[in-house]
Amino acid sequence: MKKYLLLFVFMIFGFLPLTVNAQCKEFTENEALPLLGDFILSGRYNAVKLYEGEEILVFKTLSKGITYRFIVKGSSDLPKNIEFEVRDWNGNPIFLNKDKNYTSVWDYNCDKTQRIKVFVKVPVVSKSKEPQSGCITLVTGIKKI
Amino acid sequence: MKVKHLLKVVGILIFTGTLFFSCNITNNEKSGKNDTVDSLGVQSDLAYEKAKVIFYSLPSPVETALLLEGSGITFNEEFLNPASKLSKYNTSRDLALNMGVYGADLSFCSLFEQNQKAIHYMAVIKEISEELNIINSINDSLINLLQENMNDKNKVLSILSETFVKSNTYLEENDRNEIAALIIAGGWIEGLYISSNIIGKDIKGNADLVEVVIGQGFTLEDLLGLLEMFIQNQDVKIVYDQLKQLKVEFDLLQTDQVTEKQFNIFVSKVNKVRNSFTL
Repeated sequence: MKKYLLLFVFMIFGFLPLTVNAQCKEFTENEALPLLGDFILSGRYNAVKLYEGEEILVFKTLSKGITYRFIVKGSSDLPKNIEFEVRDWNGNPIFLNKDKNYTSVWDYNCDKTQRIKVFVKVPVVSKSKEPQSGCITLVTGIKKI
Repeated sequence: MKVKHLLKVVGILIFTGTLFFSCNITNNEKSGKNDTVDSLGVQSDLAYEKAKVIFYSLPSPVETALLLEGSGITFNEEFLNPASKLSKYNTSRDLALNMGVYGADLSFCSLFEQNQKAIHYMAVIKEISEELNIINSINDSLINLLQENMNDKNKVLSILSETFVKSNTYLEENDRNEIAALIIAGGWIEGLYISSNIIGKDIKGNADLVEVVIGQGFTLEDLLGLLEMFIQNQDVKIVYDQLKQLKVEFDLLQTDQVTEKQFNIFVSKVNKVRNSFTL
């Protein structure tokens, strides 16, 4: 019986990746998109399920003359202080939200066209063996300067 | 006994599926392994190995259109892909590429408040989305919403942008990333085609626009990165190879003084790729 219980648990977790997108999409629409304000949504939703200690990397090109709004949100089952950092293509830091009290919104007036890298990381806070997991989303908005 | 057997089979299938999902993520990580960057908070050159997922965030056609705003250019229908060509597009590749192309044309019309033309292009895009079985993102209520807001340019651009993103998300959710990538490629080439042709021969007088065009070379690198993830698909491979050739042309433009001759050669290469997409 124990064997089948384990199998059942495995089935549930096995299916999780297939349902993540829909779950994180809903989270993005409810929690991140309202923060766009008068910015126009740009690109795609970069939404995915992450565990503590994991991170995502987003490559993006910013165009001169556009103001970008970066919105990074983590679902309530994740630690509060989601870190996000923007670096230029050579690795020089442009923004680190740790320095701004872990803000989830950052506006950037782009004065030169450039490629950037955005790192979003879920910090490790729980001491238990089971790390917390939840949705992380990065949304970008645009506005003409 | 049969139930036990069934459970075992289902278990094995799920296990295999989970492994496959994980492999995709691992491949994504490996794709950028040669580059060196510092990771978050920790000085390290192994950021890509730590990143669970790598995304390429490509601009929607609306963003490309927005770059042209304020550059002093005027609306020119000559550079748009005629809606009448829709009947030529019969394969998934042609439909997807031209959904992107028409998306950029629609954004261009909206930017210049060519409302009737914009509605017309939206109807064409709706037709393509039905052919491609992209459900719910583009429907009659969306077209009505656009008509109701036609006097508010920003609102229209915002609606369009959300529509592109939602279509893209729908395709990704349904494991049709290749189609999503082709739509993005179509939108990108049309934006480049319009902006580079609008400049014409007046390179000096349109210096800002030339800069916008050259800047698209960075976006091309992101686009190639995105397409590379699905390169095993033959349609993606064909498009990737064509766009890769343009990368060489962009590299030739990376000089302080772009001459008229250089720019004209570049534009002719862009036109060649774009026209091969629009047939």
